[in-house]
Amino acid sequence: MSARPMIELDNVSRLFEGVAAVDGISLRIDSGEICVIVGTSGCGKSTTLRLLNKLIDCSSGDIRIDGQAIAQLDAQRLRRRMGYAIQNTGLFPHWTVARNISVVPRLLNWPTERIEARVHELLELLGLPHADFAHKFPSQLSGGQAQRVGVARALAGDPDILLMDEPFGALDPITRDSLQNELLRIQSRIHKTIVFVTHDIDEALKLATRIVVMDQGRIVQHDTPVNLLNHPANAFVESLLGQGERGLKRASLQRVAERMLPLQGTPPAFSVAAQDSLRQALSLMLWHRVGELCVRDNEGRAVGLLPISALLHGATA
Amino acid sequence: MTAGLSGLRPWLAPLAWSLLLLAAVLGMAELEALFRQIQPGTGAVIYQRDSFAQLLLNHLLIVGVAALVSVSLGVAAGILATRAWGRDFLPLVSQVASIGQTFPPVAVLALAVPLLGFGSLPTIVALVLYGLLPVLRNTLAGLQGVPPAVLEAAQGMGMAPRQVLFEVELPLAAAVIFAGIRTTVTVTIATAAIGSTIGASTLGDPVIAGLVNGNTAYVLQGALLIGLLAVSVDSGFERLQQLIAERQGL
Ligand SMILES: Nc1ncnc2c1ncn2[C@@H]1O[C@H](COP(=O)(O)OP(=O)(O)O)[C@@H](O)[C@H]1O
Ligand SMILES: [Mg+2]
Repeated sequence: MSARPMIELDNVSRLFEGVAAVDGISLRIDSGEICVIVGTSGCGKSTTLRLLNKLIDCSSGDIRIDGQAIAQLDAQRLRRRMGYAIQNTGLFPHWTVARNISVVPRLLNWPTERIEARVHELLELLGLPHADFAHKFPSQLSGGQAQRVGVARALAGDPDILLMDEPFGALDPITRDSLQNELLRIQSRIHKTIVFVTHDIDEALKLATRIVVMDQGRIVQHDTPVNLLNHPANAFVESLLGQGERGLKRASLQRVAERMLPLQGTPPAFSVAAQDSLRQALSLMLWHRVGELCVRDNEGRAVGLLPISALLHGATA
Repeated sequence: MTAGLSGLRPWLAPLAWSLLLLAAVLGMAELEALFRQIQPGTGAVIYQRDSFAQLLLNHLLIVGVAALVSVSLGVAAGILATRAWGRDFLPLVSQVASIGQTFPPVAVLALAVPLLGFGSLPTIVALVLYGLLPVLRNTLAGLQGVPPAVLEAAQGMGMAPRQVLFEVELPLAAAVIFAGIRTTVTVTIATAAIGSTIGASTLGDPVIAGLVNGNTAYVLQGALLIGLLAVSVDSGFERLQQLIAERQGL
């Protein structure tokens, strides 16, 4: 993955009635990254995101997208180059799913056949069969389906950049988890630059290549999930991570495959999948009251051994 | 054939009322015996200074012009006051909209005469002012009722302000705005009759003449036609409202 900065913020501030919602932040987001902005409610996450697509103008500072200063760019053209997905979806209730998804391609004046093909492709990509969903209205969708359509709509114009403002915030935990996995799966295919806003630190740790922690309009820390867990910059980041849970959070970022040992003798009775997290492995050990697990690959073959001691060693990545 | 008939069924109510209105306009004279019961004596019992058809036409013309102007002004003012650059007017406009409703139409007429004299023009002006309010109030309510997330998405996708208005806001507010138009038109039909007191020719003429001459039959004839006209138009609007709702898949 190239490390070309796709998005650069240079000492950017935004005041509302004299009060800074965003206070002198500088940030580089590389092409292909999932940059997750996390922080408590009102800390300026959404404002930061809206500065990027000029829904709000900067009070001071510069923002460059792909090397171009956005102050010089036409707002509507800029937005058509950036996908935008928000909480509560903002789907147009009077339009079908297909019409909703085709908004940006229409604005870009794509030919009809290309638009239709794109709608088809995106519905399938998001796991919504075209025949079942294209002609439904938003009011006929479940929350999870509506948010999938929201994501499809954001991707429709094939933008380089995807801005997502708490897109899964209103979903139940199971639906949220599956949409997070979908996002990771899709991103591994399309390699967009994604800026994702959430107040949920677990969502941030799961999705991010790098996390931006914000507090009162400022950036407190900008680092990878593992570094954030290992070296929180201050007490605020520590409390956000939840002190007592940090060990488990870090374990959920690491795969069993990274820690397993060669298999010797008869494999243990209980198994764990190689791509499962250490956290899942630990949970299995606690549940079955055993000190070691057999590691199996996708085909179910025993490929290694995971003793509890392997969870403790080399813990600082 | 069957499909044609079932497609017609929803239009049955407005159609029936209109036919009844037409029958009353053309066949009022046939009811002379009935009105003689109400108004015994030797005098005329069927209003004859103008034909009912002529009065209906005049009435419709005045209502049409007034409603057209008040709907255009009301919708336009509602749109302007909800634009980002028109927000300063919003409190003023919504205050005018709510105060105006409490103003009796007769008072508006009384105020219009010294300024504009007698006849159709002051009547139309009064009707425009009075009819402005329901449509303005509903335009504001409809546009302000569009979910903020929908507006944010529309802007965030890169729609131009004109596209956001015509493709998103107005379609979503259409049902509410249309309900306001319906109220405006219905109120205008009923109120137009008062124009007869200041010399406009409307279906109010027989009513006024009957009141002045103590002829209850005249009063009833005018009132009957005004009522039938209001109900015909209103049921037509009700049908149109259903069509809008269906088109939005709601
Ligand atoms: N359009 C606005 N007008 C006035 N104040 C605003 C506006 N948008 C955001 N704010 C204020 O800016 C601060 C940050 O808001 P926001 O970026 O929405 O926070 P977050 O998304 O992190 O919850 C809040 O105090 C909020 O009240
Ligand atoms: Mg927010």
